[in-house]
Amino acid sequence: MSTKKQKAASAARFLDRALELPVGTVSGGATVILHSDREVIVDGCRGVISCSEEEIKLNIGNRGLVTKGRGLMIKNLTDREITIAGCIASIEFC
Amino acid sequence: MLLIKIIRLILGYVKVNLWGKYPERFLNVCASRGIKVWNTRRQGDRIEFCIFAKDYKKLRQLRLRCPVNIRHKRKYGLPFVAKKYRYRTGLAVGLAIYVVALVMMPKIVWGVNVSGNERISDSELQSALRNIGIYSGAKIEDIDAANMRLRLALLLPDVSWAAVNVDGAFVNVEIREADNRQDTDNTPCNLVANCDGRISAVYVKQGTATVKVGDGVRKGDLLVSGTEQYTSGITKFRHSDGQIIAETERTLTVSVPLNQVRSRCTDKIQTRNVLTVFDYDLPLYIGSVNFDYSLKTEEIPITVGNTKLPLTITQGQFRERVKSNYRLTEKEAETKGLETLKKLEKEEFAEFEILKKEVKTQSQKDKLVLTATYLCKGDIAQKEYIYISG
Repeated sequence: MSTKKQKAASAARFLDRALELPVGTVSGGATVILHSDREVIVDGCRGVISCSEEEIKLNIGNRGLVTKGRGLMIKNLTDREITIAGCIASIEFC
Repeated sequence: MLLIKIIRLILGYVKVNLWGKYPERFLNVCASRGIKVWNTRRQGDRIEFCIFAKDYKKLRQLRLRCPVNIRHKRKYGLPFVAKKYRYRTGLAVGLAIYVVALVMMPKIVWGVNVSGNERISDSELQSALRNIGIYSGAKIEDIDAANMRLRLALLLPDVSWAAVNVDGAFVNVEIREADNRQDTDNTPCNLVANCDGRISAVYVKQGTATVKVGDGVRKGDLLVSGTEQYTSGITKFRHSDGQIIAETERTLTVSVPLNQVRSRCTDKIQTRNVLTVFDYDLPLYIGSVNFDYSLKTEEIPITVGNTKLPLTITQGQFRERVKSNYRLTEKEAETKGLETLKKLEKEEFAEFEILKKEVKTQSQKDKLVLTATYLCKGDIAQKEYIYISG
């Protein structure tokens, strides 16, 4: 990541903290909603990196999000949001 | 998310198989181009997903950007079913009729149920109801129960009370008939003879008898006068009433042709059905019956449970009838003539007692004529109203 982008990101994070806004309001991170271990909704997803029944890897901007489990499937996919259904074992940021 | 599934089925969708290099990239491209993708899952080296049918053609263009292969696996939804049956116009017509019926039927009267009538016949009542706008096929919104029950009572004088209730698609009409009204006719009248005869008894309830027992009278003669004149010069008119019993002579003539035509039914039967929807008859056959026939009809109402639908199938059996000529002997003709005479006696002399009967037969060219002379006893009085002018 270039120095300019890093500066902009740190400034956005500073604003989030200073104005006591929810994290990601200004900095623009992804929102992850987990419904039990059956469904995860990722708002702010920029694309699917890989997809299998055991692991689905997503691009959420500066990091990746890995959902692991069994019988995973992409229930719904739009340009901003993705819904993953199945038996979810873990969610990792990488 | 049943609603979403229904919408997808109505719009139609395709299950697609995707394989090749970086199939996930192709999914991202689809999503970025506004193509909705759902139920994406990995099946070995392939990815299976669903898209709307209208978006399937767009995939071809997008495929050029990614080194992947696409093949549709299965099609779902209404557009594909409709395409499959596009040449079956009957289905479309049936569906259209169903939709129209679904929209129209709740707004129309399916049937009229009538109760409470004893003296007034069903047909007379149905006819009166039709005149005031209550019939199968009438619009329910046009039925003004309060107004119509009054109109019905006005239309049928024998109805003393009526109720009109709309129950779903049926109209229930309940009536009460008026008590038998006594004869309150007080119009001044005379009693005159309705035929020639000799008086054998006089019973006068009101009026002045102008004949006595043993008198001979001709048709039209005054029997009981409704005019009463007092010595003071005042004339009063009364409604004459009574019975004037007289012996009368009457004649009946029956002519029996010797050449007769006999019709016989054969085993040839053609059955024709007519579907009656409300008041409209739809023939369920083609062509006409090309022989002389006797017709027997049977109405089969179509019901669902206890509910009678406004549909009736009328089944008509046309049985071929063959005519043949034959000649009666004089004796057969006489027997037939006497039978006819008996029937006529019952009709003509229902209120008379037959004292004497004499039958004469006369053979003519092609017929036998029976002339019966009767001596009858009965009431010959007939009312004749007095019209007062000025």
